[in-house]
Amino acid sequence: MSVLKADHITINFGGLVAVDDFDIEIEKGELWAIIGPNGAGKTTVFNMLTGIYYPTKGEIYVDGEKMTAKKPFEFARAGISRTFQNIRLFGGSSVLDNVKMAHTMDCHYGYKDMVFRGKKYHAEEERITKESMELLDLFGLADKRDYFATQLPYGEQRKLEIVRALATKPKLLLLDEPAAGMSPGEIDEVIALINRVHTEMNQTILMIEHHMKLVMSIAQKIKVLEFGRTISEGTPEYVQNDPLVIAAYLGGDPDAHA
Amino acid sequence: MEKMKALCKRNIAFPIFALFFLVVTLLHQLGIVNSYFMQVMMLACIYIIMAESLNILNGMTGLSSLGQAGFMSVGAYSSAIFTTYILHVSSLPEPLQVVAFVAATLVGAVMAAICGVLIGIPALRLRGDYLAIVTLGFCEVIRAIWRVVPADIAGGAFGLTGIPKLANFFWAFLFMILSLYFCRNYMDSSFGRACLAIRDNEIAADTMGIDCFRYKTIAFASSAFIAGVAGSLYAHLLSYIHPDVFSYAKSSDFLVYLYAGGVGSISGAMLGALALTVLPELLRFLNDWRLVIYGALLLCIILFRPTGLFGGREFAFLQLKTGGIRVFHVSTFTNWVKGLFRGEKRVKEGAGK
Repeated sequence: MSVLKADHITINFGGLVAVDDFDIEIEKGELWAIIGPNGAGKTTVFNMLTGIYYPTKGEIYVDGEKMTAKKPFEFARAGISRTFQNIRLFGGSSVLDNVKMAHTMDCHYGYKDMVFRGKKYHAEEERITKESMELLDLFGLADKRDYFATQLPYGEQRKLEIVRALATKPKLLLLDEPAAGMSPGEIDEVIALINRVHTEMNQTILMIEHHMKLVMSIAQKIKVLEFGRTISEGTPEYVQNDPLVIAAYLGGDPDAHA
Repeated sequence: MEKMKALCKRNIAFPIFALFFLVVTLLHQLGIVNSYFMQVMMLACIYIIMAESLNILNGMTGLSSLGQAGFMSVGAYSSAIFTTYILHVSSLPEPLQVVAFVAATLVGAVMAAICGVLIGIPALRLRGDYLAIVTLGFCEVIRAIWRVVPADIAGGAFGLTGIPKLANFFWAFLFMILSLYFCRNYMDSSFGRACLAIRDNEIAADTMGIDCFRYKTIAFASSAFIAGVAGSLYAHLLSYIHPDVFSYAKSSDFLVYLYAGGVGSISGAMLGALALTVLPELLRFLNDWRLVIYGALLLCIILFRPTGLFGGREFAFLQLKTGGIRVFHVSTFTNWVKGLFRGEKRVKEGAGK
């Protein structure tokens, strides 16, 4: 069964059709990328896949379960986790707390355990702290656990967002422009990082990215959007040579290349 | 006894609190400090509880409430009606009176929490200033309700008189410590972290699987519960309550305590309320100038220390793990004072480069 299935989703903002008839089916272990020029509707697709926007038409299924008109936290509980294009960390909290906050939904003690600090509270808190530290350690952020999230340099803030998203143990990880604003050297690091998350942790990933080197080197399947419509879909080689894609990025007559 | 020792060892604050209580009580018994001072101390305890309760909303969850006095009045009235009219406590033997008082405090707190949930469910769809206006409205509506309730139930516009004076320094102090530790436990749990996440970035919190509405409602109810405890203490301490006592001005007092102490910090709320309750009393020798000095001091705090006296730091004895990076040391304060004198110079040098 597919991890995520979007069945012909469409969203209108007033008279504008932001995303038209978007269709995707992601199997476990795949690494997908969505590309497209600015304003093509890529982040809008993400917002629909995480419940921030409700599609006007079409259905979304996570693991076969119908998710239409569910709230973002229900999407998260179903196993979809995301990062944001403009970083949205919990800035007033420490790096470790940021990761622990992502554990809220798998924290199994009630209000009573919280007030009276029973055995359950201590066991759960210990487990969450341990898991969070392991994850931070894996990404080389362990020694920065006590920094405020906003004190980290830009690249590490992006990294922390990925760590935080992974802490919810998602079935599908959505990355919204993980390499935005990074230098060429840092982009190589991001490529290595995403590769590691994909292969070592066997994480299913769907990402939006503008950086072609990154996309072409790691994505298994690519979807190309332009003005809300899907114009091409397939392996990196296929997409790179699709005249429609070349026309969308470089302009010109799509038929001339055919 | 062994258990006691273990408790003291684990938490150094416990013997300090006990010692403080014993010293103050002893001084009072010996006649060194008068009843007036004790009254101020008890009020300080009550206002600390209120500042802590406001901190759960304004500091932790980032919801602005201007109606905290409304929750306090619900606690005060319901507990006072419970002891005065339902149990007729004054006719009970003394040990039973204490039990009745604790029960009444619980009743008041639970009633306030119920109000918190009832107000919270519609109001929490709003954010920021709009939520603040709704809570302000709630505070005024509650006040108006106490006025129109028949006089033989809640005293009406004359206020409720003849409440048995059951609260003393022991109870005020005990409930203050309990609320302090309640806030500590709350902050240092998945509940508190969810609230902090909502404060820092609601959309991100939502996509991390945090049910914002649920956690906001819990925060509202918890905050109202503590405010209800403070209300009950207040009613049974002054033995007279009037609707106008719980006006908007009272709510803004609590806000001032919280922001002067340092919003978001449990220690800050505590010290802010303590300092700003005791200070005006210490300034009494200045007569009419008292409130001028008080206002000027507040202004200085806001100007020179916008994050409050504590600036989001916490006492080490609270052993907070969430946000545990911000432990308060005396050096924080001395460095700040030194920085006040050096600060401007450094900025100028930096600008020169």
